[in-house]
Amino acid sequence: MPSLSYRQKRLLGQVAAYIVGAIIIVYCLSPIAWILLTSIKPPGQEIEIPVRYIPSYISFENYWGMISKIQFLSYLRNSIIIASVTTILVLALGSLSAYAISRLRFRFRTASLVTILVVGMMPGIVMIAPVFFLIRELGLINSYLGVIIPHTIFALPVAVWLLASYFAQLPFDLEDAAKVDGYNPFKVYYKIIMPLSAPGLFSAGILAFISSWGEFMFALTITHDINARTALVAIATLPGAFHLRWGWITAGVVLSLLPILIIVLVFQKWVIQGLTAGAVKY
Amino acid sequence: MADVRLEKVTKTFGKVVAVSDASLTFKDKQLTTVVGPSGCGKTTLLRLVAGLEIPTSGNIYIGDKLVNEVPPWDRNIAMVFQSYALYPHMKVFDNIAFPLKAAKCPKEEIRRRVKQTAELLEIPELLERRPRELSGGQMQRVAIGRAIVREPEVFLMDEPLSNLDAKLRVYMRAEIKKLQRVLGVTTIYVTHDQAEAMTIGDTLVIMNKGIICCMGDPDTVYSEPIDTFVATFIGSPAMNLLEGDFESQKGLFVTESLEYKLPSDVADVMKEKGLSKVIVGIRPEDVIVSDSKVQGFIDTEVYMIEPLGRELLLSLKLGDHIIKAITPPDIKLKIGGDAWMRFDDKKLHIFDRKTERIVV
Repeated sequence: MPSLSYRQKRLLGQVAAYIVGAIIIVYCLSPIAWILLTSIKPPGQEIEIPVRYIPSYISFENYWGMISKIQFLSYLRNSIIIASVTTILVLALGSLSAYAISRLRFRFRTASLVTILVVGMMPGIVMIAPVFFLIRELGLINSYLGVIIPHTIFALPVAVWLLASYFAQLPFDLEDAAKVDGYNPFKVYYKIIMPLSAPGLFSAGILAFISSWGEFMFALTITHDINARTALVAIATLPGAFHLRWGWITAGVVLSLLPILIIVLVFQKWVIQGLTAGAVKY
Repeated sequence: MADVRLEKVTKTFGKVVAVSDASLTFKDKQLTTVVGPSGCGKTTLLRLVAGLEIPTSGNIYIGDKLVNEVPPWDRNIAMVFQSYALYPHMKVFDNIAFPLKAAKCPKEEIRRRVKQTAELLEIPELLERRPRELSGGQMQRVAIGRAIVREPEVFLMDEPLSNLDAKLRVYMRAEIKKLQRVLGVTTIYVTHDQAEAMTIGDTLVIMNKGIICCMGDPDTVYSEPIDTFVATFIGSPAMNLLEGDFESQKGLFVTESLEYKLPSDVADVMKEKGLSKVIVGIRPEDVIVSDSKVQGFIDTEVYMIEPLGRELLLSLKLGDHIIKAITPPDIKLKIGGDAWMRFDDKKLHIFDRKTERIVV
């Protein structure tokens, strides 16, 4: 092969990068595409052999089945409530902790950080039995709170970590200036720190929401009926002892994905900004 | 309007002593500069007055009130930071209005006062902008505006001009001084730039390693420095210091390469105090240089010539000593050639080896 000029090499590199990117995207999106296609197949076509990729006509029977027979919307409502409350709690508690850890000097600072990290690194399955007994003792089995509490606890470490690193890069001068201007620490937190950390809060919030939404093990263990069960658990426990209704399953999955998709698309600017630890331009 | 008084104030951070036993008064309505090399404790001193640090021991009074336990948001002070510390998410108007909002001022009055302040600082057209759209000089004025809008008892300024380019700095120095006169508020101005300290302050406080060396008006501090640190810190280029011995019999100052006859009044005082090991200090502008041999002048070698436009900065080599001198630019010298010099006897400073000065 003749030796390429610098410009040609650059071009080749860019093309290669795009090709690799396209492959990765196709690889990631293909399961979702498959699920989407399956969910709009008329009943029967999803389990044909040989495999039928594109439905012969679009049918929403699966969706209708989920909504009316399984009352899937109730499960969705449960998921939304649980994930939202978890997010609010995680942000409220997490931001205060992150602020203290990253910007205040106090004796147990290192110990607190270590504790939070240890909890974050613990696999959920280790905790499932003790947490179950605890929730049962508290009388919270099959209630929203019973799921919210473990979800919050397990989402906090990541949120604190993210928010702490975000807070740490805010200039200390700003707080001093606000104090001298006549604001006590709480007002400084509320009027200066919070607004400036909006991207970090958004991304921590969205991460908390997604982690609660997609959590399976605790939701399965702690809830047992429609009053509190989440959408994902509902899909996994669809009635059907002899066969799996793939159409209904995939319809459920698509319905579960919708809220998340909407949130991430609406807030994508904040998500990306927060996750890439955007520097506050001075 | 109030004076600020410190009584034996000490501040330590663990083992580090930032401020040691400071006792002084910042006079009401005056602009006092606190000057010193990096790490001397001047910013800590300012933060102690602001309430951003709490003294390890000692008392701080603003007016007649003991403020040790009073947090910064309850002290009636305003501060301008080196980095300006403008709130990036608020417009200029809101930045300046921020302290007034804390004091729960009515909206109309806030608008009036912010406008008034902006006009005083010549920035009324910037009120709707955000800090990131401003130049350094503009940001600085907004920071000053935020400080003056609330008519505090004390202004604290922490090297506010350090981030500006040289020309703007010189301009703003004069503006700040004028402003302070007009407003008549007690001001404490911290800087590491001795030239700035000299021009802007009514009173100078010099700090070194946490200790307050001396306090006085700029002229006195310049012409009668209390020790070698002050002598070399203030004035640029720095004062020449020569270590040597005093021979009381002949009234001579002697070093390895130099024998200088001291004026009789100086020598008498030195004899009286029984001094022998001394340091002689003479400022470069008080070294008299001639390009031709003169009776009584000392022959030196011209080591370096630095033209400064309106004068020449010479480095004259005499044995082991390099003596800096400032002369008018028309003197005819060249590097390696000879120059004859003597000291202006009225401007000699004699220091006991590193303790105090004695005679002018």
